[in-house]
Amino acid sequence: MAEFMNLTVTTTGEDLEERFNVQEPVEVVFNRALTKIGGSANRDQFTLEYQDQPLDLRRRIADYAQLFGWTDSATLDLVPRPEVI
Amino acid sequence: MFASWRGAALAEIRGIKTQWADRYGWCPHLRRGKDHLDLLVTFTRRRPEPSQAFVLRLRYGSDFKIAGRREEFVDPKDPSKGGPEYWPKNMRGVAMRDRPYLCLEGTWGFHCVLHPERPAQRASLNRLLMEIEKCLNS
Repeated sequence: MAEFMNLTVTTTGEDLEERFNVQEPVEVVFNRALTKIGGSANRDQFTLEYQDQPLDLRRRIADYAQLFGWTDSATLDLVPRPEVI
Repeated sequence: MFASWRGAALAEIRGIKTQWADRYGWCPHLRRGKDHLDLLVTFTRRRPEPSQAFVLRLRYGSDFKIAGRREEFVDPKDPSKGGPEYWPKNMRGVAMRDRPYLCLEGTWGFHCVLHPERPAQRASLNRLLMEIEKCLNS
């Protein structure tokens, strides 16, 4: 597996497109995407998903690359958790 | 900065994420009125099968940045007809008062009926649409 991978994260605002070390935890991607939309203070209001499946932020990017068959790129989603008051 | 509320409304409507609209089949459609803009979005409840389609009308008025977008589920064949009968049953995020409202930031129901203490300025259309999608399908 390649050491780095291009990941795109579709968000409710500006999307993230960056290259990540696949040994990093998914949380790194989550944090970068949150920063992009100014949501770092509200991390509990968002989930990182791949094709509607929530990702475990503790797992490595490489783990999901192997699971989902990602090669050199993948597109994820930073999805808001509905805040129903 | 937009010269008019219509400009601001059209900008956010045009900013709907195509990746999400394509994946979920939202088919956003715009209808212009004399003093409002209607955004029609199709949401599909996938389970239980068979899937069901619902059409949400978000009506933009000159006050949408403060009061939110007026929400109503409508007859898919005639979007001018709305009412409780067109709303999804047992959907998370729906509050019943004199009529159903979406208890989600960005709607008129949230900012003018249910939580008038919460400002509408920070609401995002993409966030609202995705929250509705998740409320309907989770």
